[in-house]
Amino acid sequence: MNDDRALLQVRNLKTHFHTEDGLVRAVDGVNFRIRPAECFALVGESGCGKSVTAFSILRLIPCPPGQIADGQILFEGRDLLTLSGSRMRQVRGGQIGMIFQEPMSSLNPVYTVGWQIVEAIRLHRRLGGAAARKLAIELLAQVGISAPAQRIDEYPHQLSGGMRQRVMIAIALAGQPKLLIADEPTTALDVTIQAQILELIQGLQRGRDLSVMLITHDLAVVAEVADTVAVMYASKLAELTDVRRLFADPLHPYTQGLFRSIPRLGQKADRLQTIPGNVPSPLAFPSGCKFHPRCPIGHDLPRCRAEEPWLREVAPGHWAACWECPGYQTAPQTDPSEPPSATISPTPARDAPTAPAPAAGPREHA
Amino acid sequence: MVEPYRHPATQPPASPAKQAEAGPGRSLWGDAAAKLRRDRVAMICLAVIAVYALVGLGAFVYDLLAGYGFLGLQPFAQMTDYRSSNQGPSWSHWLGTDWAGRDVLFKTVLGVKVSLTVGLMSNLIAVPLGMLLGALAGFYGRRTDAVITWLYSTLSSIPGIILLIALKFAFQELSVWGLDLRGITGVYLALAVVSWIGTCRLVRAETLKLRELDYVLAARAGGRGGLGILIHHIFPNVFHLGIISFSLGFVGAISAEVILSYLGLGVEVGQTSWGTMINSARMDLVAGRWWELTSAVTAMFILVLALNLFGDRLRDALDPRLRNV
Repeated sequence: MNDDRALLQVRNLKTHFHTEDGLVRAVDGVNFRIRPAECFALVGESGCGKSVTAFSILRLIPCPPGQIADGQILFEGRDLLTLSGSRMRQVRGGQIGMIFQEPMSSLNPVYTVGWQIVEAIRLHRRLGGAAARKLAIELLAQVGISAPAQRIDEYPHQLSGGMRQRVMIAIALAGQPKLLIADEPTTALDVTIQAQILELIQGLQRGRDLSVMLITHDLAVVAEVADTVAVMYASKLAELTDVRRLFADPLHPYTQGLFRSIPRLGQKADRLQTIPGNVPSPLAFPSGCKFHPRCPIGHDLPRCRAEEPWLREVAPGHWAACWECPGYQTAPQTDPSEPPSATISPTPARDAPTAPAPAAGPREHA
Repeated sequence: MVEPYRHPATQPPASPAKQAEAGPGRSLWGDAAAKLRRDRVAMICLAVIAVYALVGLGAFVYDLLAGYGFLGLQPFAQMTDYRSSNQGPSWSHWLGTDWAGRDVLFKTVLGVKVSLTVGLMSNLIAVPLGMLLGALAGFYGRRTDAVITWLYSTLSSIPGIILLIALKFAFQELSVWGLDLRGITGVYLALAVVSWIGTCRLVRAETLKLRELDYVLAARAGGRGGLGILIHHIFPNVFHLGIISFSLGFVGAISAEVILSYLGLGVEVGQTSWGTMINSARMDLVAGRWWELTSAVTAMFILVLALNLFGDRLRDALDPRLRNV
């Protein structure tokens, strides 16, 4: 994982919803980058904005209430937010595939599995019916469905949840994507199937040079498959680093709290430790650091109550947004959506057009 | 045909043919059809409807031939024989004769044709229209929805039968694009104008639900455009509503035609339908001549009952709760 080019850069993304109760800042200034062939996990509780982040990348936010208020989403250097509708449709399912939480309802009940895969193939590739069908059978085999030539003519209700999720993955792969966004792909499945699906996703990521953006609330899943992890809390990133460092040395009190709440083997505990309080409502975020009312360190500190911390690079490759975490005060405020300045051209200016471009690697011609 | 119940564990191994049936390619439509085929009531109703359809077809052919004087057939209106008017049921006239001495059984049979064509034609206009507008309103929302909702709310704020009568009155003086709206064509249109609303509401509500479903979102995430989603993902999933609307709308159309004809607003003067039969029986009943009214009402009762029961069974077979399994 020494490839520091960026496939996807999310810069200062702000997605807001104009609801009857007021403005909901579901995503409020998020920066990260996803490198080619890496598995990037976005972790957080329900309602913290992780799914909205994913939907924003594909511009699938329902537009009257929702609005991408600010930011850039650079995919191979191209800002997806400025693309025309038809160009964007080529990106969806083409360069970026997506799978969802509910395999039971993600397939159209009136069509055969094959019809739905062939539809996805023909939307993005110039292939005849017979060739597309052949490719569909191949894809089904690749996602580990046995007897794909028979299964292709079955209807979704004849398949189990795990099989449907495999079919969803086959559909997502139909357009030969470079990035697969998986929105809680295993949440609705039982544990043994979860492991199989994760294994499949990991296998595809390695075998096909596919980047995966995995959205989950399950730290066990993260530990298993992720390379880089971003922890999201209340519409912002709290911490961002690679998976080993996060599990070895979590810096943000929220991340620490999450780890403390996991039961450990061999540890006797009547009750699991919890983080006190509730996730704040996005309609009424607390002042200052949004975590401070629940924070064991900062709940009384005047700075935490008044000023909101931003992500700073407290150690090389380790970003955190907490006034009290060691090294934060002196850390440089680098942008996690930019490649580290040492490895790129000497002008890492934010809007330098050359900086994010080099992703146009050999895969483009594959 | 019906096999005795056996516990699954003691079930003999299924024959290869049966396995193939349960195996690949079991579509929801196929399932619904199989369920319907197993339903005895539905099948009896379907048989009744088929008999009516055949009779109606026969009457249609007769009218066509008689209209041109083929085979020496004469139109029903000219089959008068005043010497034998108002006779009760007998061997020569099973259901008696009317005031002009015409056979009531034959009159009833000709009424089948009118009723069936009214049911068919008005629904062939109303159901596709209702489905199209309902799906557009539900899917696109916003201004499209506002316009369509306004349209059907306005129409449905007028009591159906009044609107029907008013439209038919308006059509009495009208001939559009060479279409003579005075007679039965006007009935088709007036009925269609009144009855697309129900289908539209139903389809709009279902579309609103479907629009938010994961597979629609998945199609969007896969790069499908709005129109593609409407055609490939919304329409096939509201199609069963169209079929149900059609079967129930059929009944409504038949009764509405009878009412209109009774009021003298239905079929053209001289044409027969169950409505005109009931209308002309107003005087007869006082004089003790019950057969004309009875035959018209019985024929209508059996058809409407069969259609209603079949519509119910159809809805059960296409039940959306089973569609999501």
